[in-house]
Amino acid sequence: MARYILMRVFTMLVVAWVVVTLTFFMMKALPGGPFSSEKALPEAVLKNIERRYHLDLPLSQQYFEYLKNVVKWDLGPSYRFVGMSVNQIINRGFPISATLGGISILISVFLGVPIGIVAAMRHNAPYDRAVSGLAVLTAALPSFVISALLQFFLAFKWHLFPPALWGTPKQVVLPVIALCSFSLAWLTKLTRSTMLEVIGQDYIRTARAKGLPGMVIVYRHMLKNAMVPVIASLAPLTAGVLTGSFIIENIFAIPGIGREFVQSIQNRDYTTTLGMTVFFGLLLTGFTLIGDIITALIDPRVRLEKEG
Amino acid sequence: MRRTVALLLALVMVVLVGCTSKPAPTATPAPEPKKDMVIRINVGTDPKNLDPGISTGVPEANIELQLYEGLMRLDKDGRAVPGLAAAMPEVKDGGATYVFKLRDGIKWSNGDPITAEDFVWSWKRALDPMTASEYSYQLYYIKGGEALNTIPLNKVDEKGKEILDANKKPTPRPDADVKADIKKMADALGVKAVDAKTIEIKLEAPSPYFLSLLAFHTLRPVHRKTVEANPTDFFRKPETMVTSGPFTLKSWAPKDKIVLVKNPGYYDAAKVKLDRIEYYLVDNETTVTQMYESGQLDIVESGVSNAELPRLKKEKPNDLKILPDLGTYYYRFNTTKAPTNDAKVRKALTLAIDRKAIVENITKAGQIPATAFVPSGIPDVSGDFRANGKDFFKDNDVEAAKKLLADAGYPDGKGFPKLTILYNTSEGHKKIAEAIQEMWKKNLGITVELTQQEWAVYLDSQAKLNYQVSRAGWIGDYIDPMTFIDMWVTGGGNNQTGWTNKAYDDLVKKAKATDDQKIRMTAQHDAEKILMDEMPIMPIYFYVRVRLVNPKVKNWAEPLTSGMDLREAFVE
Repeated sequence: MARYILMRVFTMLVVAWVVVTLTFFMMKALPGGPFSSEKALPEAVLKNIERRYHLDLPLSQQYFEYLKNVVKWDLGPSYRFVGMSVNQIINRGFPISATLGGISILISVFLGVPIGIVAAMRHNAPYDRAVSGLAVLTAALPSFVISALLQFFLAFKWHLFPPALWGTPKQVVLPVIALCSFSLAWLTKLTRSTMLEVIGQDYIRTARAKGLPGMVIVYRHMLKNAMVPVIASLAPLTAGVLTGSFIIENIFAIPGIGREFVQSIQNRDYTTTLGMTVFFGLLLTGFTLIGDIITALIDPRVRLEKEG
Repeated sequence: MRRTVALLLALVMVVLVGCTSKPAPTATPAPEPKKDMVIRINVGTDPKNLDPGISTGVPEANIELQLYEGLMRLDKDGRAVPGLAAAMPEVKDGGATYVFKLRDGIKWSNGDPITAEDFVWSWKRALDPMTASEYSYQLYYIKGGEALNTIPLNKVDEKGKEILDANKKPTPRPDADVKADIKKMADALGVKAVDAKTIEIKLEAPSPYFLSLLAFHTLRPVHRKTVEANPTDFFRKPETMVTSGPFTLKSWAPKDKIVLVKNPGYYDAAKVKLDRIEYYLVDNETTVTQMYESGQLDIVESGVSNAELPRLKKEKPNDLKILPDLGTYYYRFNTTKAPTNDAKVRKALTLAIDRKAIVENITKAGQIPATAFVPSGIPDVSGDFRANGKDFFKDNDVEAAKKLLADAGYPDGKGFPKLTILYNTSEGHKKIAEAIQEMWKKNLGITVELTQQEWAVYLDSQAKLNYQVSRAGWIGDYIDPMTFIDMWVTGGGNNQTGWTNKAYDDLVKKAKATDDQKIRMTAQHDAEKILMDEMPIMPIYFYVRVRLVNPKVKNWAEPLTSGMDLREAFVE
């Protein structure tokens, strides 16, 4: 197990390095720079700026300089937001994005899983059909459409919630609904289908035949097995929520890192884009790793395969 | 089993109900002793900085307007009136030297006195190449300003050209040499603190618009001690942000909001009614409009959704304000490549579009069809520069356009190569480009393609003349035709059409060399005529500014070239 984890951490670092390198050169290859503006700058002024931000150094030198600093987790100064470092931007924005994403994941799990279980238990009953239909519909609606609908009805028409910004508990509601809609629907569907699969298994029939009480069968035999794919899917789901936050944070004007990331690309804020890419890259590979480890812990088949 | 399910369902219901159907709060909060007078205003994108000597963006300028004051400021009609200066200056040497006296007892927000030396230091700082200010060229009017800002950073030969090494790379000069040069040039700069309250400014050439430039943020002073101690981030924290204007910084939460509070030490504090201004930093237009209509904002300075305009006009006629602007929306032609290297072709294209239809059906905010380049609002020797200059052509003159195109060798568009319009990604630009594509097809029989590029890519294409026809817009920096006219001189940084005309360059030079308004204005009228004769650009419409302002907010002002001035604003 330890060797498995070590290998995975090593791969993670390699992936991070590849991501940094690719992003670094792709960003530099993009036309336009952090100081392009509609009002053209005099040549001398541009030179002054390039010297100040060391953009006049050869590209390879800039690259190695950057790598060296990333290893020390110094992501450099933002070109756009003068006087702020990328570390500061991440430290400030991440707690907000994490709150938004965390609540969304929790709601998806604690609502989606029970709803899915109940639907599976009532297979083909009206409740099941309603849930499945609703889940398919919600999963198919893009989050920006849901956001616009929420803003229009709940904020603008009925004045139940503020349409944007962040800070008070009320302001959390709309973006969380918009962000968790997909993951909630998806988890519901996933739970329902894995439960249905388990219900048909021989060992459930055996348990029933032994005369075990219904509750015990559901908890001890069905849930334990049905949850394996659900837990395994949490990592990609978290990734989905993270990337979903790029859009949601923009629509609801939430000062999280998703919005920073998208805007930094438009601004050609090289260091911020790079720093964010590294950060998101580590976050995603980290979640995948955790998801894999948990799966390995609860599912002996995976563990054996990996160790064998 | 049943019970568990029922319980789970009940839980689900409780959560759902709790989330969505909370009734609007009816209880009124406990009455506060004295409510602060606050204005909540959306200003758009998060500012890059709030350093008046360096900033270039619009949100930055709008917030700095409340924070810093210069020697002059703009009154509600856009006239330059004394700000930190006690009175209008004494003007000498045929308009090339200005002597200002400062007001008595003026103070920084931390209580330090504001002195003549503060101005001299701030201007030298903005021009210092090491400060790397993007707007330093606003100070090139001062004698020696350009020389100081453009000290070569790399080794140059005696002609001033950079010496390149074997890899075609310039060699940087040692820091010590550059610093010595900076010191020498800064000492030679044409500004002098004659005494603590007197400033003498020598200009490169007489500039009648220098007074309104003095109100511009790049020329406002900053507080030396705190800036030297925190050169790159003094403006981010209230402790190190020392201001000279009616307000000062309370807090800055990036991407969220910036809060300003009244500066009690401001010389005109008695006129300042607001206790606080909250600047919101939301850039999604739909969200901004929703926020305003839900009462989260009092003013939308940036972000009134264009799609919502017709509805807002009907539902919020007292809130929606359409203000004139000093700006022109136009298309550039690449004059270095066929077919747009032929003035006849450019003219034909210019005449063959229906501007009235564009402003009435697409932009819809009351923009004015442009049949010239310089917009209204600039005083001439007498009257308005635009009104005196008149229209240069007739809008939607299809007959004349057809004839010009035939003269150029393409009767009914036969044999005309495919033309591509470039614009930066935006729904508004796209709609206009599509309309023009349609008009050129219908009126001239030519095939037009559209290309959209993301902002920075588009700027790059345009600067490299990597286009045929390209969308553009220009907002004047100061109230004089020169801010529009000097764009088109040969090799000008904002020309970007490849157009060059000797007579035009000479007229601009002539206008810039004198402060005789008559000569200046005549030269600029003549220059505009050449421009509209040769048509390296195709004017489309003159901008307007669209704002939402709660009718309870009074006494705000937004003259041309200025952001929304809240110095004397109050809420009823």
